Amino acid sequence: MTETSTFTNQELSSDNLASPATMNFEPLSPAYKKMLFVSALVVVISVIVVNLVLNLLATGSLQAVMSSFGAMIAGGFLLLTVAIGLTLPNLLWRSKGYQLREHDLHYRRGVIWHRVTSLPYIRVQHVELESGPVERYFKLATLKFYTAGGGSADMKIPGLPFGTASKIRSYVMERAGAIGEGQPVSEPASGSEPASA
Amino acid sequence: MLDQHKNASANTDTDAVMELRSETWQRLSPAAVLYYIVKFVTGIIKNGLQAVLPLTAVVATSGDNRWFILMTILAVGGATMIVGALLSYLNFKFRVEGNSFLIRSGVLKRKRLTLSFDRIQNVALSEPLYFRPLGLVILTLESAGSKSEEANLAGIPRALANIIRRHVLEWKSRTQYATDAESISANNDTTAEKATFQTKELLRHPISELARYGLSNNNTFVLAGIAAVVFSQFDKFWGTALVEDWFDVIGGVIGTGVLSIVALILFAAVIILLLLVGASVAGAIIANYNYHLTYGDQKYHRTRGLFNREETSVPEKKIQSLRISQPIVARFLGRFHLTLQQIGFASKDGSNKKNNFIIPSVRQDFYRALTERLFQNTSLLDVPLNSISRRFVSRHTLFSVGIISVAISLTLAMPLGLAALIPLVAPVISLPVLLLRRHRYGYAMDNTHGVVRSGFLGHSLTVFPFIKVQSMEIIQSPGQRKHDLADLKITLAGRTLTIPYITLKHALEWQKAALLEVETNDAPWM
Repeated sequence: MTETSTFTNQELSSDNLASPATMNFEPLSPAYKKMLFVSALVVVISVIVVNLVLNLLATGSLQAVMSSFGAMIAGGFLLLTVAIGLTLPNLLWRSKGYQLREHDLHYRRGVIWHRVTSLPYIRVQHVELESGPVERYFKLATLKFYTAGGGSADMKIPGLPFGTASKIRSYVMERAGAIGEGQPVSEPASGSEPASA
Repeated sequence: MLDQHKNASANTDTDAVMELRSETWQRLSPAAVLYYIVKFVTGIIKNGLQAVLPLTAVVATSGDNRWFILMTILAVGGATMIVGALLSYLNFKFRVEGNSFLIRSGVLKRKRLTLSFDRIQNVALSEPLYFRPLGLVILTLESAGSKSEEANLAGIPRALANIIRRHVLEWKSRTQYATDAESISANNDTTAEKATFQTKELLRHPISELARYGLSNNNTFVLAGIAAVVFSQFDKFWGTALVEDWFDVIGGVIGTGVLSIVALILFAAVIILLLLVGASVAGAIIANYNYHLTYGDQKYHRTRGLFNREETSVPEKKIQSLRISQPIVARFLGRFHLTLQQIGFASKDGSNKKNNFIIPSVRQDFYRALTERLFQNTSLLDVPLNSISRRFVSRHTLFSVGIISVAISLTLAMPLGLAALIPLVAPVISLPVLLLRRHRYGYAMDNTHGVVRSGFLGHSLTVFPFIKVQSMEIIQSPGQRKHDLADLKITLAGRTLTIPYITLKHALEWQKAALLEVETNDAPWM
């Protein structure tokens, strides 16, 4: 192995590291929780509206729809959906987190299956910053990190405030370039230019 | 004298490159039309056979007009193919600008590709049978990025292809010199020895060895799959009638008792198996005919092929991992098949066939020597491998197979009654399979390298240096969390390795060792 005397990389070098769960992951923006909640709400409301309209067309009167047996089942289903819609965003938000270290980046996710992905900066080929219309409304962005040879992003961190996301992007690119000086940290492929913040 | 010769060749090189660099677009040889026709036909055979079969059914069932319809279909198809090939040839133009290839291609969908020299991973030449009398070759520019960035210059003179190859590789080695100089001085003795430009022969396969490869690679099963698909299509139109006819003929000879039916089925199975094995052997010989592997200039060079003579080389530095596989038949023959895995655009299942460099049918001493050469200072092939947890078997028996079979049983209970209990046997049947899978999994690491084994009847062993690791993932299900177990996923450039059900402690050790190696060892990895 090469000399490690000058090499520091806190957290990892500490031997009391028992499980990925003990890393100090930073939470995603609370706005991400709101975004998930609103998205869930939109889905639930559209399901109700579409259902209602279809039933109205079929039976012809609102009263008939409301008093039918199907409405009871639909009501139960609705309650369940709302309950899941209320709890899931929180669970999802809590399960995700990232940690930047001197030499690598870690991202944790998963409510049932816990996953921790680790990515050394030196292997990052390019970083994309993406922000869809809903994300833009909440002033959030998703960071995508690509390494060589993979078709899709190796790591995708959603729910980052704009400022934080672009700061992380510049930091990672700078680290990737600085560490890999002389290494071909190549330009993004033509046609897949990263979206600018 | 030698110098003069060198200068002369350098001059023609420069002339040819200057011509490529001029503003005018270059075209392929008109013979490229042949290449496009062949490509079209093989494309249909590979992907579109399913689509063509219904057409043949139309022809077969169209009564008196069948010959007319067949001729029309063939004429229209043939004309489309020729026009398509002509347009493909006419629309394909290329030139060099700065340090990039500019390539325009496509008939319906026009494509403009700018491929800079530093993104080119490898330049491969191949010489199909129909280009051989014309002295033409196909030059393939393989890129590190995506598949859409690859280009074939099909139908250029061999001399020009060699000049382009030399030019690109020289340019690359010039620009990488600064990076490499450091690493060369760092491990002076080994690299200096390799830097001598002597070419050393490593392997030359006689036909018997290629036949062994055809027998023992798993292509027989792949062929069986393809055959099954073709037969299932075939069966719909003519199959049943055909089988009945044959059955009558054979029944007339051997009688129609139960025994003779069983004998007939067995006989048919043996014949089909022999045919498939024959096809696999023939395929192996055609693809690898006159297989020749050499090492020189820090690259592995390979030439092979009967109809299509192929020349490929892989720079040693770019090899991401070595896979040593031994399918069940190869075990009896005492052979191993090696794959040098390069950087490539991985498909969804994590495999990356195109950029794989296969060295078929070698003995143990060969792969040991190769491993030694590729990964110095590792003794991983000698250490006993760790096994994965027993819970791998119980988890999959109970949850993966168990739950599905119970669900199927329940849904079938109403219509089928007691017969619906049959799916419940599935976990029992899958148990030995899972036990065998668990038994084949193995892993070991030292400070700088990892080795992962997996398989079912046969096995394959992947050895890789940690410096080639791109990213890592540790995954834990609720059950795994309870027992401090985890799945470890290691992503290399072009291949993903997964070791399921290892102890969390080991997973963290691997993560730590691999990250440390990647982050502290600044030797170039691609």
